[in-house]
Amino acid sequence: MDRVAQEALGKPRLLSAAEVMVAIDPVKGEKKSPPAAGQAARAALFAKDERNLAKPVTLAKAMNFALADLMLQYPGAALFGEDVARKGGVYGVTQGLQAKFGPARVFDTLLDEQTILGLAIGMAHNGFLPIAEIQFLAYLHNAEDQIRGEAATLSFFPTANIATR
Amino acid sequence: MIVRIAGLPYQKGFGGHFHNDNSLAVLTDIPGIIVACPSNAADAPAMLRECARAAYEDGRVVVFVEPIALYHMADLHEAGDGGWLSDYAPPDSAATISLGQPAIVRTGQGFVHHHLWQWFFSVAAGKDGFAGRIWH
Repeated sequence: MDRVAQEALGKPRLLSAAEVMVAIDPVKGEKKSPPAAGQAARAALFAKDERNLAKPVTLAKAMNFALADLMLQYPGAALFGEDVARKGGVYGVTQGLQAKFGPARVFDTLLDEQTILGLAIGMAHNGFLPIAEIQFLAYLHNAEDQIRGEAATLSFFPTANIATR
Repeated sequence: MIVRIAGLPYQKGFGGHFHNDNSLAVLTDIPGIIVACPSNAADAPAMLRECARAAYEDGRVVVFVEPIALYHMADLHEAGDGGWLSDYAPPDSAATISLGQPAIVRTGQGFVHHHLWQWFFSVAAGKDGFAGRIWH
């Protein structure tokens, strides 16, 4: 114990407020987003949606299209949560996305919000763009510390370079 | 990372406190996260794209709250008017929204920034073309 304490005491310390705060502000512009997909790729993706694309849509349908476009643009994006894949979401927002992108990128999870957010954090740390769904706002409370105590604040550890992406 | 959450109150007689929850407050005191909540089909895609950009490029943690009550809302003033629908703007469209950019509801009266109130306000005002949204 004494040996470990002596070793810890010898570690370099943060000496100024600036050093402490350097990790709090998120890293900006480290990566560049891929360009939006071209016409041909989008036409293939939305081959079965032509009729709906041509007319005004609801918020749910607009989200469905926007999620599809994001998945196409970001190869590292994955979409997951309770009932989002086979069922297409309680309100149909993610309908058809598993058919479009396959079960590796769009998948159902256990009914466990801590697992869902834990997976998102791990994927984000590894350079993916996780798009996790919590089925109802009330369910967030089962796992809100995953956001508060981990995702949002891991980057506060100075020089640890473990910001959640 | 982006966390999409279907939320806010939406119906009577089903679900109780398990399904109806208005607790945006639980998110608003978490340091550093972006909270976004669109109210309509015109705003949602542009806001989601901006959130994806911030998550991917800047390492931001985004919570995207989607109002269940407005998911399938089609009409604004009367049945069949389709006043709450919008054309879907593709990713290369000029319809972008940057982080924190408010929706101007009506000049001279400030902002209405709660989506449900936005919808009720729109009905009451007898006007269409509003675009309320929440950024935090």
